[in-house]
Amino acid sequence: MVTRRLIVEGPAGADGGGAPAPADDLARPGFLEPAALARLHELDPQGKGKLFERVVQAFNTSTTRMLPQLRAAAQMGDLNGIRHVAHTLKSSSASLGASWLSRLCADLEHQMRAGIADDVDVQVERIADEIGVVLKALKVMTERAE
Amino acid sequence: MNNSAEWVDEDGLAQPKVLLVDDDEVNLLLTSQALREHGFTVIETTSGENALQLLGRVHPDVAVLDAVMPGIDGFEACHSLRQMPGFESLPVLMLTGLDDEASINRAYEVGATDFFVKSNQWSLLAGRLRYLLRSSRTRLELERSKSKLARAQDLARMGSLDWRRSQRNLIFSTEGLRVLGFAPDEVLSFRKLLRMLSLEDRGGLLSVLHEAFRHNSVIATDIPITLDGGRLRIIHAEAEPEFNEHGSLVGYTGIVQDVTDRRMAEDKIRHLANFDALTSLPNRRQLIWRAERALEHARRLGHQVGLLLIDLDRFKVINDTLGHGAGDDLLMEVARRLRSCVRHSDQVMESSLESMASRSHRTLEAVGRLGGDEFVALLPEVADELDAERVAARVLDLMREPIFVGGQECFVTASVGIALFPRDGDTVADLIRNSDMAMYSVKSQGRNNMSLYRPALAGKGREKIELESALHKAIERNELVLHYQPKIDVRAARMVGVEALMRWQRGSVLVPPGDFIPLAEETGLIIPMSEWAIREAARQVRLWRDSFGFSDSIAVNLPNRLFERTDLVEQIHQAVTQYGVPHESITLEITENSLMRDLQNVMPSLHRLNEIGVEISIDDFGTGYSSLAYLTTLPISELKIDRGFVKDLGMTPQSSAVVTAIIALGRSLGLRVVAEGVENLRQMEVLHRLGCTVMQGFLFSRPQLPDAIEAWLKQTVLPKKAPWIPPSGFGNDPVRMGGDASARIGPRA
Repeated sequence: MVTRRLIVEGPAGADGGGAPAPADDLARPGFLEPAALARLHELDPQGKGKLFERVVQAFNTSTTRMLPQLRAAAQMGDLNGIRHVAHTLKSSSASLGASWLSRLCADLEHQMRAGIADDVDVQVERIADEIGVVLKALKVMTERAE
Repeated sequence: MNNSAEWVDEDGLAQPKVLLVDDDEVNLLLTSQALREHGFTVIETTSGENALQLLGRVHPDVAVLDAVMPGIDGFEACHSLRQMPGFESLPVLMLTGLDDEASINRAYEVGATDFFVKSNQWSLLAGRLRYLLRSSRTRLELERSKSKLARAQDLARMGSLDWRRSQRNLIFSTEGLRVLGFAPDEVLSFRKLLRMLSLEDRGGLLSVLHEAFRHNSVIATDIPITLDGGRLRIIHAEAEPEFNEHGSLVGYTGIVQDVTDRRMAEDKIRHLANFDALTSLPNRRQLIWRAERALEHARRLGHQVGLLLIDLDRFKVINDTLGHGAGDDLLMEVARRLRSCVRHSDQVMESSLESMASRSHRTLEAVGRLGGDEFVALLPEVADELDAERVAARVLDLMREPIFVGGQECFVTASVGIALFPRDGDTVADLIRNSDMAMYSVKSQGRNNMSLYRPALAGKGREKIELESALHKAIERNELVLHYQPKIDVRAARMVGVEALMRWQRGSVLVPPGDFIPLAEETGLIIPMSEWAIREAARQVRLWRDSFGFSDSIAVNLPNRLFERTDLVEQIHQAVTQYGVPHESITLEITENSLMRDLQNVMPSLHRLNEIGVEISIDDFGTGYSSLAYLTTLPISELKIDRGFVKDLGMTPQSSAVVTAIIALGRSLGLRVVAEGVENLRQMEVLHRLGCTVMQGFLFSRPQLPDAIEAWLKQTVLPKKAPWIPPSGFGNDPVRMGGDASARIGPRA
């Protein structure tokens, strides 16, 4: 899965050497992966396009929309609905370097595909918490950039 | 990072348009930003539904679809897109997860061009898109070029053909199968192909193929085949051998082409070149070719060849009275009858001729049309002249039946001249000429008969017959020309008209009038020749009026029998009308002798001509026996003093006495007097002193072609640079004697 691969990559923009690095420790709660952030930076090096701000804004908007969807699906036991939201959230967060959040989503998606409905509520709340943490971290970064 | 300039060069597509579909807004934003950085134009949307709606509006060069989306996902979108007209070959890239092999397979199933694993390495995605666009364009070009080739082959009724030694069947392209009348999926065995050929052609093809295989040589052959519906076609097959690395033959590859139309056109051309379009008989060229072959055979085998020249009698009358359509019908009927007089073969078996098979020259026997109403019967082998005469008799006999054309029965007769090889000539040209001469001897003895060539026809008589034969064709071959001699008013030193004199340009020889006018009069040819002269003179008046304002008249000499024709006035009227010149621009000359010989019959014409403005001049005046009483009543305008009197002027007193008398007569009758044959200044001065001022003769100008007359006027008369033009004072009287000239067909000037 995309996210996992990104997480294991080294920080200095190592361009997919592909070696399964041992350091899973980059994926931990509240941590934004530097390599992913570096790639974001590459897309708008001078910051002219205010890309970072726009991405954060987009993440904010979509999580604001998706989180209620996720909770509603969980409540209704709609595994497929949960899976879709988890899938989307998985790649959004990976793009921002939010590896932990991405992994949480990946695990949930995987579980849904397997049809295992256990602990869904717990997992959803864990995701909700992590979204909050990531948004806060992003906000700090944005303010720092300004 | 931004290499767009480079991409432009490579792909020729400045800003490829990408339709990017992803429900993840973050990814959508980042991916599109990355692609823009790489020189793409990006249209973003977050759902499959939107994507399908956008397609028709934005016409992307490539679509990138996220595989997993709520609602219409990437797979479904791709599938729907492929059903939409115009998007069958749009490159579609499916974004999938890394561990998702099922998605990858599914992507291909729904018609995606390729897949790409989602990542944040966006430059890789840009590179993949570039590759996709390039390969799609290449594929498109390939398809276009394939369909162009197919279309070209279709138009050329051509297709390709392949044969492998290891395989049983021949492999044809769809176009190739179509050429042979088969459906695109037909499997053609060689045996099946052979069955489309006639038995004879099968053998021929097989031997061609055996020969080619034995020498590993190129095959190029035309094969007549019968298609399923029974249509006959000619197929051209051409194939080259192919060899493996060891140099041994592995197969043949080449083309088949339907060349039926071309072959038919070639046949048609050959037919047109060798056969007369009207009667379908062999034409002159074909006849001569056949005759030459016949002579070759005769030389080798030692037999005689007969050549009959058949000329219809009075065909021209039928053509003139019933029209050319009827004339053509008549010729066709004659051709049909003549064909039955010999063992006519349309086709000559050239191959059998080459082999000189014993009697193969018999296929040369034919009736052909030389042109006009002239036919030839070629008899490649005759035992004696009786043989040839028998055929000639059959010809004459078959003509006896009336021919129904133009709504009436016509009786046509023919004159047949016979020449035999080797007795009457050693070449085809000799035989044709001598049979022509024999034919003319029939004509001169009353037509509707046959005659063998006799050497007695040669000599003086032969020349005459030849001359007559040639003169017959002189008009239609445009061999007659008019030369012009000016008439000069010596007082005013100016030209006041010209006389037209006929010449015959026979090949490179200019025949003087004395050599053909008497014969023309004897045979009656003088009539059409004179009619031609009138038209030609009218045409010349037109040209001169346009080029230097010629306002006088051209005099044309006519024999008295033309004056007897009731349509003379109409003829002249038509000629001047055709060229838009006044009637006054033509003057007619008639000799005193012929006028007086037939005065009663000529008189009505003279009056009518006078009424429409055509003036009459009496030529050779003084040599005949004019009745002075009549002379006063004739509607004439001019007297021309015979050259005989002018010649002796100043030498014998009698001559000047006659000239004086004629001048006095002319003056008292109010007629213009013209002196002919003035050759020196002495004659001119005497004439002038006696009161005749209009003259004609070598002193001024010999008869010349129109251009030369014009040049002479510009270079001699206008600048007044001639011995006969006095420096000044002599005859500056501007009074004109009249604006005419005298023309003559006669032998003088």
